[in-house]
Amino acid sequence: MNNKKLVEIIAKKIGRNKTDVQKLLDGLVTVLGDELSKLNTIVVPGFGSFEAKKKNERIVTNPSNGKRMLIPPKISMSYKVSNVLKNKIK
Amino acid sequence: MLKLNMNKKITFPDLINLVAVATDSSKRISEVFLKELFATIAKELADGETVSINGLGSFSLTDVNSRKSINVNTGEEIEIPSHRKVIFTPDKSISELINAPFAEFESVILDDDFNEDAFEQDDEQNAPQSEKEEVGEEVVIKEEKPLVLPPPFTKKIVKTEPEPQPQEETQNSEEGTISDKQPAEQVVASELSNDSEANNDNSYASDFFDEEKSFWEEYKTLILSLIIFIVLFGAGIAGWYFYCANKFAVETMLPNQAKSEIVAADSVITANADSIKTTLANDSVKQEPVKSLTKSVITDTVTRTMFLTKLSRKHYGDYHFWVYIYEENKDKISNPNAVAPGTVVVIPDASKYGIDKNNPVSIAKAQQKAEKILGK
Repeated sequence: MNNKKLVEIIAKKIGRNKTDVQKLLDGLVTVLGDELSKLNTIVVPGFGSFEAKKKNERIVTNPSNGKRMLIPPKISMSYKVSNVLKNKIK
Repeated sequence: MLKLNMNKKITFPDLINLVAVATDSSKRISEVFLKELFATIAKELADGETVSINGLGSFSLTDVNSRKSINVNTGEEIEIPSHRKVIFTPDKSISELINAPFAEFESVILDDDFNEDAFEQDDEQNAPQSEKEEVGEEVVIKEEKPLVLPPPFTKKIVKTEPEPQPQEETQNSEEGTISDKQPAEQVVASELSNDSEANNDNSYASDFFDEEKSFWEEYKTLILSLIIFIVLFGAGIAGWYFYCANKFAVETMLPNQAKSEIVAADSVITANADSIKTTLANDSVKQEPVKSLTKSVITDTVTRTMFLTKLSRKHYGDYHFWVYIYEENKDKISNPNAVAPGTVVVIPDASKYGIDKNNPVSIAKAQQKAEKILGK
């Protein structure tokens, strides 16, 4: 399901127009990005948690030419599914 | 102050508040929306559908085969049945936003004689050493940059670097990495001194090389080990830097600011590119960007996820100061709540409006101004 369809469904369910819903969704995305860049964890009950994780730098070898590279550290976004949702999906 | 509370847990009520504030809507609407949103995503996932959200990423399902495992308590062999699990793939824009403090880093190809054991050993030796340097925090962060930067980037750092000591070191490492790989070609390149950017990079580096050729030959091993030491030292600091989560917030601002400065410096470099032909010109190039950097105007682009408030936090350290960005760009922005993505805004100098994130008076002033702007 793409973004457009998701907005449509939610708009119908909460009885607001699509522009409002899209605005709220954009707001949520901004808030998530904001909080995660502050390294905060966002927990949504019944759904899961969003977390920013730091990955250490590491040395990898290119299997085709044997060249070794130093991959820099990075902070990446991760999502952990909640047990409730996990059991629903099983 | 706010940013010192690191690694906080944002609960659902917090999230409702934050979304309500960000979208200027009531808490009730925000709550209804968020509940419905997550319920819908969960329902779609349970139905086996993939859900993607613009700017955030996509949630999808994948099958996991059954596998054997051992019950850790009883030691019995058990079989984990095959099941489905949720995979989240973050959108490019949000991962870039989150990775902003490390955005300057790039992968580096290591030399063949680079010893991994030495890397780990030196790393351990360096770790305690770096802990003592708590006072020289800013310098430490800047030294960290040369760690994984490729030669062209290191060059830019040299120009924007205010401290003299790291400058020296980055120059050294620049000579080391470039000339180590292709010393003979570099000399030729400097004599040709073509106009293309790549060749300018070469000639720039080879000017150093010519100047210090005899020196280089004499101390080749010394310099090489120095470079490796700097790299390892940086790696040690990077590790330590993450243990100090509380200090992180203040520091995250640094790379961001440095980045926009680098952008400015970069354009100056290309403008001056043609003049990089002689060793003499080399000196003038080094000074010119620094001079014009202070005069150059910092601009930034508004995107779907980068609003005025966020730009303000990025550049000034507090979101309240968005009013000054708005003030400076009044002619381009009609409604500060709905700035068209892609709008390039001028970021005024912090001193122009007396912006100080540590001064509550300055923040209160910005808040008053915001009320005035939003009220009118």
